[in-house]
This record gives sequence, structure tokens and C-alpha cells, in this order.
Amino acid sequence: MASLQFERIGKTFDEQVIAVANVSFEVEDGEFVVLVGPSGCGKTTLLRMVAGLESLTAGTLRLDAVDVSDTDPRDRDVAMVFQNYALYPHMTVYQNMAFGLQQRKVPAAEIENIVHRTARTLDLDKLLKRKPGALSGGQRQRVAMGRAIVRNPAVFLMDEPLSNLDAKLRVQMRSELKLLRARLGVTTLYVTHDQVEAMTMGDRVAVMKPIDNPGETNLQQVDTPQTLYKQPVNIFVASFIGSPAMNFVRVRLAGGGDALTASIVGTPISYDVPAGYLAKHPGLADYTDKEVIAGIRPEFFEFAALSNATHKLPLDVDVLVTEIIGPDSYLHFDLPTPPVHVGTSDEPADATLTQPADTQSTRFTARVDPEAAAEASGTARITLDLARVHYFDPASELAIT
Amino acid sequence: MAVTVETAAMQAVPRRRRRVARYLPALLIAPSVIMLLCLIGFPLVFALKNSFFFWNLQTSPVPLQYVGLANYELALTASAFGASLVNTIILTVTGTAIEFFLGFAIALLLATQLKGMSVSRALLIMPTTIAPIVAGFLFRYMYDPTGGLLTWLANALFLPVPAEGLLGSPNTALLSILIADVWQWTPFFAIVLYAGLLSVPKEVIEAARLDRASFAAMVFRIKLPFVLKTALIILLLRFMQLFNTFDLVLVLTRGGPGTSSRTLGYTLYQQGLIDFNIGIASATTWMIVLIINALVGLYIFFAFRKWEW
Repeated sequence: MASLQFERIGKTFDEQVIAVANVSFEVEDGEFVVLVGPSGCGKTTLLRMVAGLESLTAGTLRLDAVDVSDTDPRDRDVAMVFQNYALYPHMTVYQNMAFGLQQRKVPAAEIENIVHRTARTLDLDKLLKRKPGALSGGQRQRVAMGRAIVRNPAVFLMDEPLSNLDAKLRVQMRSELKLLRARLGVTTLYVTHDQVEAMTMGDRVAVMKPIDNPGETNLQQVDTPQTLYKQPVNIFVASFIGSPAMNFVRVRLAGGGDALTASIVGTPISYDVPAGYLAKHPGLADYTDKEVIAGIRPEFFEFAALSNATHKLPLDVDVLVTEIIGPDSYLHFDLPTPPVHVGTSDEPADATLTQPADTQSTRFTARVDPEAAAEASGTARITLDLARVHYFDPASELAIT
Repeated sequence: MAVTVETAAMQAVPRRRRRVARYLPALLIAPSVIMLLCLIGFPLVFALKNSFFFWNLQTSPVPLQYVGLANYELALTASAFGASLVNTIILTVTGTAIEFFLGFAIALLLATQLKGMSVSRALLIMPTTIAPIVAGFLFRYMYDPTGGLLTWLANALFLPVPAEGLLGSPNTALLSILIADVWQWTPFFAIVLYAGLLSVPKEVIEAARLDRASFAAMVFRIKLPFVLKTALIILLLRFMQLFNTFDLVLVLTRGGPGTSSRTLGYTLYQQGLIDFNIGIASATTWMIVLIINALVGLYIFFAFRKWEW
């Protein structure tokens, strides 16, 4: 059991490549924190620095208030689960799990006791005599977990432990991991690029971003999953969290006082910013007669027939594609407004769906009721919930509050 | 009509192709198998036949008389045989062991990726590239009792150097051969084991570090198992090579003084190419073949038994 403090931590490779810079946050005792971000954002490097496998080039790392920045990995009480498990291939499952304890000079009888107990909880007791080569992916993953658990470390480090499993097994292991962590209650730092994993598993989630300037920081926001979703601090976090990704559109604000009118650039569409929203986000008034970026999650749209509340903006859109995925359906449509470029996703899903050919229009995704979507074709009337729209400063990309 | 002809032709081609495909592996292997049979099988059978005949090239160009097992009896009872067998086994076992452990230690050092390791790697392989006979001459000069480098070095370190020289004393002659061999072949182990160490996944080493593995555990329980297969094979190769050591002995000591550094290889050379007694040389050849095959068979049985992961 331990807390972890990161204080302006930085890592530069070969004095040129900046992997991590100015990362400061704290992991409380027993907390489960997920590091998430696109590839190259330094999340794995940060994890390896906690393990002691990478040296720090800046900052201080404290484990239970003790500075461990330069401590050898052998002398930090941390256990790590590697992405490819890194099991010892020539040892049996039992030996794999016992090795760390043997090196710590734990008495043999006690080792046997601990390993068998852990193997039972992980459902590995029938596999103890097997070697990793004779195990399935999910079993290897559990052995890797077991090897970390038997040591009863102060901190668990997990580097994308589920990424080598197939989709179904991943969901199963995710819930097993959650159960396990609820029982063990050990401080855990968990790296993933999968935001669903991050949102479902973390007590708090740290969103990281690739950087190339030593003055910046990788760390964008550390918060609970719900806060990240509802109050993203900037465009990066807003677009990274949520699937399908948030829609961005430029709007021009006009008016003043407690009545602001927003018009979507390039279109005749305009609406009044709800007064209640303005009261909660007074900063928005400073942007009168300026352009801001509005962030609209796909789920902020609804079919017109299903809503009659106020603060809804009706839109008649030409539906290009309808994707029906079980409980959800996604409508894709274009509006003739210049697109906002946000560099977050490193995996452009389907270029034709995310980016229209015409550079003067922007593609939108709406998440709507599948029953109604099945009938929608050609022009459809949908509404936008204006009370939930996010606004960002176009220059700093920070959320306007 | 045309249609039937066409289908028949279309069937015929795959069938012929299938037959070729079935025999193709055998056809491709055949030349090397035949070559091996000619190069190994024929001399062995020829030697086996000769080992039952009295045949000395100094007296006759053809075998003279069938003598049964007399050649084997003579070869075994000659005082040199027992001594050279013992010398050969000492040389082979200690030589292979020393070269392996030294080589493994060097390989571990090479794998640490310190500065200048690439230069060291290149320099290291040099002794192995030298012909054994040349290495032999090199060491003959270095062992020279008056001006030899190694003699001087041993003196400087206050090690007892026999008055007749390192090669001239029955106590140190075999050791001197061993040292020359170790000098020449340790780099071979180092380079091959180093290549094996490169196959150890980085994450496994890191996992072991986090598991607080001690230095000994890291070397013997994590790294060694990864190079074990490679090690077993090069140990086998080197064992067989060393068992047949001849060139170093010829250049350094000619088996002397007495029989103190005589190996089976040198005995064979003397019987066949000095005494020209083909019958006895053939008998000795066959005994060496049987001994080394028995040893290698045992080695393979025990070393490769638990070879699974």
C-alpha cells in the first residue's frame, strides 16, 4: 500500500526526443489510476519510469513520500504486468509465480502456500505444472497477474495488459481485473490506449498527449471518468474521450449581457445560448463577436419526434449513412461549415466517414435511437440539446467556463 | 469430344504434379545423402576391412595377410594407447568446460552494451579465424624457454616454470596444449553464446529485475536457459573437435615428452603416417569411432531428453 507522487517528471531520449515533460500528479493510497492517450503520448514511458526501468531526466518521483527517482527497480516495491506478459518461458506456472518470492528469500513452505492460494483465486491451480508455451492467451495473462500479486507489492504497474487478448476475452478479463482490484485494494497505475478500458476501470483517468516542446506537458487532465466526459478541460480531452468522437464546429457569438446568439459559421443556422447555460459558464460572455469552437457529442442529438423540450435546436439534415449497431445507431451528415482540425486520434477510422471530400463542409455524427433511424432516409429532422454543448477557445483550445 | 479431351488433360497435369511433389523432398535430399555415404561410409568400411589385415605401406602397396583381431590387440596393448586415451579425455573435458564458462562470461559482458563492445566483438573472433597450425606455431614461440612471451610472463608472476620449458616438461606439456586451445576457441563460444543472449527478450530481463533477481539467479535461472539449446550444440561440436585434436599436438610437443601430451589423434598419425602401419591405424580409427560415438550418444541422450519448450 502506497501513494505515488509525480513532481514535474520528464524524460528525454538521446537529449533530443521528448517523451515526457512536466508531469505532476498524485496517486493516492489504494487508488486505481489509468494513463490513457494515443500512441507516442509517453504513457508507457511514464509507467516504466515508475518501475525504474527508465531513468528520469527531470523531476522527482516519490513513493510514500520517499524519493525513489534514482532507486534501482530491485529496490522499489513495485510489480509490473507487461503487455506481452514477459513470463519466463522455461519455467512452469508455479516457478514463474514463485521466482520473485524465492529471490526475496521467503521460506519455501510459505511460498508454496502463497502461490497455491493465489493460483486458486486466479483459477490457475490446475495449470501450475504447465509451461507458458502450453497456455492460452487469457491463461498467460492470469499467470502474469499472479506473478505480480504473489509479491504483494506496494504498487501495481500494468502496461496494456489486456491488449493482446481477443475482444470477448478482453471484456471478461476487464471485469475480472476490476473484481480482483476491489479485493486487493493495491495502488495501481494502469496504461491503456483503449478509452473504454480507461473509463470503466479507473478511479481516476489521466489523459496524456504527445508533445514535442519541453515547455508543454503530456498530462492534459486527471479526473474521474465522469468528469472527463462531462467537463473536459480542452479540445484534446474532449475529442479523445467518447466514442464516436465529439463533433467540433465553429460558431460566432453575438449579442451581450445575458442573451448570446450563436451562429454556425458558413450556415444560416443560429440559436440562442440557453440562459441557464450562460449562468453556469459566465466566461462565454467574453467571447461576444468572436468565434469559438463548439463541441457536440453524438449523443447530444435526438430525433425530433422524441423530444419536445426547450433549448433544443431543430436541424433538417441530409443523412448520408446510417450505421445501426445493436442498441445504438449513428447518423452521418454534412453541414456546410469549415472543418475544425483536432489532432487526437492516430487511427483515422474510415476516412470517407470522418472527412467529407469537400473541404468547406464538416461531417457530423449523431447517436440516435435505432428504431427511428431504421426508417430515416434522405432528409431527417433531428434536434440538438443546446444545454450540453461544450465551448472552447479557438486559440488556446481550453474549455470556456 | 473436345470437352472430354480437355478435362482429361487437365486432370493429368495435377496428377503428375502431385507425384513430383511427393518425391521432390527425397530427390532434393538424395545428392547430399549419396555424397555423405561416399565420403563417410566408404572410408569407414575400407578402414574396417583393413583393420583385419596386416598391411604396412613400407613393405607392400596392398594388404598382405588376414590377421583377425591381432591389430586391435596390438593397438590396445601398446603403452601409448592408454596414455593417449587418458590425455585425450582430460584435454577434451577440461578444454570444453573451460572454454564454455569463459566464453559464457565473455558473452555476458558483450551483451551489456558498454562502449567499445562492437570493437571487442570484432577483435574477439580473430583467434578463431587463425588456422590451428598457425596458432600452434604462435604458441611454440611464446612457450620458448629462453625468449618466449608466456615463459617470461610466468616468470614475472613467480609461477614455477620447469627448466626444460613449458613444452618440455611432462608436467606442463598437456596443460600448454590446453591453454593454446582455450585461447583459440573461447572466442567461438563467446560469440555464439552472445548471439544466443541477444534472443533473451528485454521484457523478461526487466521482469526478473522487478522480481529482484540476484546476479546469480539472473545469469543461471533466466539467461542461461535461453542459450541452453545453443550451448548444448556447440558443446557437442567442440567436444568432438577437441577429441580429435592433432594439429596443436603435432606443432607444439609431438606428443612428448614421452607420452605425456599424446592424444588419440596424434597416436593415429604416428601409426599411419610415420610407421605406415595401415592395419593398426585402421584398428585405432575404429576404436576411436566407437568411443566417440558412445560418448556422443550418451551426451545426446541425457542433454536433449528434456527438450520441449
